[in-house]
Amino acid sequence: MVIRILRSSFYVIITALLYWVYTHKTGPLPPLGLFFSPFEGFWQNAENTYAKTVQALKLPGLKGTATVSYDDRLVPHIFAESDEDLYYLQGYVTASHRLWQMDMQVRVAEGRLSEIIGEKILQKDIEARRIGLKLGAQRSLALMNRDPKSKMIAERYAAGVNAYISSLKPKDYPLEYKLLDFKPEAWTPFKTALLLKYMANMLTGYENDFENTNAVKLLGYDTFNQLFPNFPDSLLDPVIPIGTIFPLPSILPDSQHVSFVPFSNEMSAVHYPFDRPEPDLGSNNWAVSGAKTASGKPILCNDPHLGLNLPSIWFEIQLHTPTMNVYGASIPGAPCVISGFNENIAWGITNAAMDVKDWYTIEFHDSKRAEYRYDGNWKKSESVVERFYVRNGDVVYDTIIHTLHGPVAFDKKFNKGIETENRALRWTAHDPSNELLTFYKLNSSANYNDYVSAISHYRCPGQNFVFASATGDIAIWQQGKFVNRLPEQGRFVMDGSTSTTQWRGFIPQQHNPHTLNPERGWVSSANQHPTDETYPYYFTGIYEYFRNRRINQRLGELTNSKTMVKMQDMMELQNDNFNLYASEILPLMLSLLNPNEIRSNERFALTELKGWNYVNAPDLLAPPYFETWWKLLNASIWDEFEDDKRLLTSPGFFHTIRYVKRFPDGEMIDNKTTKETESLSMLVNRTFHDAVKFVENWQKEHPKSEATWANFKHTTVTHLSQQLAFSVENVQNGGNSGIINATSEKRGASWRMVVSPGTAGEAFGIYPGGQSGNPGSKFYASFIDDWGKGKYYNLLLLKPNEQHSRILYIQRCAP
Amino acid sequence: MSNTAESYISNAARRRARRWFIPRMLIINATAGLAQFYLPFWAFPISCLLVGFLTASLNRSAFLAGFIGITLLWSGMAFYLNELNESILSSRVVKLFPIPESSIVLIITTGIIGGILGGFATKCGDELRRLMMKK
Repeated sequence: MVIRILRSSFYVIITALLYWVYTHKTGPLPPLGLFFSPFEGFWQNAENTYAKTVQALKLPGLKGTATVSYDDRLVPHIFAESDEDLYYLQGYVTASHRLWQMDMQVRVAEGRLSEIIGEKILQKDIEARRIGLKLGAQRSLALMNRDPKSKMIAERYAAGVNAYISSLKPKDYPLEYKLLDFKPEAWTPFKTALLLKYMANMLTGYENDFENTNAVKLLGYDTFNQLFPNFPDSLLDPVIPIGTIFPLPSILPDSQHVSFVPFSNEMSAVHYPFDRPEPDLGSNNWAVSGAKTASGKPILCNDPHLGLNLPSIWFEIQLHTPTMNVYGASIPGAPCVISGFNENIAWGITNAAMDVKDWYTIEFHDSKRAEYRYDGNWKKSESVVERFYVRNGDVVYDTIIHTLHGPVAFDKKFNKGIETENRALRWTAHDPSNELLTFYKLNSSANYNDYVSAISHYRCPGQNFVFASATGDIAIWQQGKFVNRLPEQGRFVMDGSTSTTQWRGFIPQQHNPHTLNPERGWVSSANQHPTDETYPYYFTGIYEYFRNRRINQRLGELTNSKTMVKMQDMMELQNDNFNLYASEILPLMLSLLNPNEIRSNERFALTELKGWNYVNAPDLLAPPYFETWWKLLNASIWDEFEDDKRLLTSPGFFHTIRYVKRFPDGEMIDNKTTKETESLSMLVNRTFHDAVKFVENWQKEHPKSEATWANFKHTTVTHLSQQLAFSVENVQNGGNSGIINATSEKRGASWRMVVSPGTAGEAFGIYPGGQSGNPGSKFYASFIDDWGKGKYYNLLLLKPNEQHSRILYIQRCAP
Repeated sequence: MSNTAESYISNAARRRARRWFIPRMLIINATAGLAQFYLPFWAFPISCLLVGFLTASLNRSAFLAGFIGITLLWSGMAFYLNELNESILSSRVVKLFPIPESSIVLIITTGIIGGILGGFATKCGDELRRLMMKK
């Protein structure tokens, strides 16, 4: 009997243990039973590819009836009778394809990832909270709620998302919820505000305050300015054409003399304990006047470059009410269309690379951090305790100190206990702003004046809004809240013990750089300097020097040729793979190669490079050699930066080319760690051998692939969870950062649009993803191949009740 | 140990149990299928346990009936969903796990994962029945 009881208990215990493992997340594994069960696990996300035509949807929050027509690319076309229903449905529809992505992106911004992922991501959460993203979102929400229109839009959008969430049973949750084992959470207008700060964080990393400060300490101020000039001495090709007359400033900061330049030749350093945001994000946009186009109507183009992710950052949508009819790319989590067109106008965005993020060193009275030095006194600081609910059940507390210079983003807690390393962050993303109102008004704009009034609400992240109208106007405004700086203010880490370093105000909105119908017949931007030095305000940032020049060069050629500009020309320009920096440096590199030192295995590479047309085409063999060689040469020229332990960044390609052409014997050329004195030609030869070896090794490691540029670059569109299983690898596409087609390994044109406003049917676009966020849908990654090939889809601006052959199915919605 | 346990069972009972193997498997298949269709996950092991409790069996056949019954149920359902989906999802999900990259392998894996719990739950029911009957 005892044996029998023992035996039964054995089976009961095994079964209970199994049940526990099957229903709980263990390590990286999902709850095995729940995940694999075909009745509720991942198999339930396998969408029936043969399904459905017309559906009737009962949506309790709706005020009237509405229809959602999905076209053959799963783009929803929403037809509603009121704005209230329109944004409700935008929320509902977006959530039904992108719920998990919406949830995760705002968790990143709010610093709530560790609730899902666990302790290993806690540091990222604390960082997000400390740089003030949540703070900024709270302030923006208050402002959004003060305007009845934006309040209504955000609330109705949230209601739509929540209607979708409450229609779900656990088996219907997006796959990633099952994999990571958590539940969707109700959406709120606060989350929309957070999403906009998430974008601001992604797009305002254009400052090098720490790197610049350390560089002055390493090199001295004069050499620093030579290598990192605020304006290049030639080849500047700003957004606003040179020669444009600017108004005299109505406000200038008081010209009190303050030096912002750190002391030179010091061994000390400023530390930045977090990951530095990637500065390699950019975008292109331009508009060509109708006087230069074959149709006589303007053409507008936009391709924002962002991280290449699945689900894509963009979601195509058409929004229609009796007073609005707009189509374009929206961002899941935010109502309205962000880059798009309506029957009268089109607009697009690129990032203004202006520095709006400044760092201040704070000196605390003692380790209690209750007071800090300010204008000769001890000023009281404020402290806020933030809570983090970690997945394992722990609650972690972090005290954030606030000063007049902003929140102290990092202190001894992040700097190995060093008491003196306290840095406060002052950032325009901390300030309240109502970007929603801009997009709402832009979506229904009919002309230039509407557009100007719409973008006047826009603050952060600063953008170049390109514009074209059916009536023939083209324009561009660099719009945002930009600091009215004293010279050099904000270029380096600043002294926080004084009020003299503090921001004195902002550039008046109507003085933001802009141009309407310039004589040359086009407007364009590609993250370059907004203006030349005649602009009456001081500014600093991290600017592009290649894409802008190539765009303007090509637009100059196209608009001055006998044939008029066509849509096709614009698509080709967006996919242009011409490598301008290669064309400016490779001839010099090849001329310095010593023919006697070329080994037999290197002849092939040399022949390829000599015969290369400087085009980073996907199937060419020369670009891998050039890009590797050039990268290695940069590293050996700027070895002073690589060898130094301090946080530094070496000059970009543009300034490197300027330097080696002007100072072939410059002191930076010599490698300080070797006994001999290197010349440029020695470095060029040495790195050529290394580059060929590198490509040879790549070939050995990839015996099945040819070393073409596309294979070598290995562009990957990565799932937001970093799971390769849900990513698309080795997309066959050319380009690189610094090239108009800015596709690098992980970044590139996240949305390409070419549209002629007011011309029915003349609207084309594509993005590297798919409308569905579900890896079990045929619409998940459906555009990526065509995107890689440079193809476009015809974008449908449907009319209400239009029977179009491309409509896949229709949802009829009623309360 | 199993010999002593089996010695309690008469030859007639043994024959009966053997005849009942396939019907029991099908009963498990059907009840667990219905339970999973309408109820949360816990209903699946409970339904296996109940069937194991209510149907007399030989020692090993209880586990086997549950195992095979649920393996067939889960892989059958997965196969059906996979067909409607044209393997789009399974070809991605299979890459998450250290198994050969094939949809069929994922379908079989699914079945076996369900089968293991199904088998043990059925066996539990069977054991509890024996405990109660032999008091």
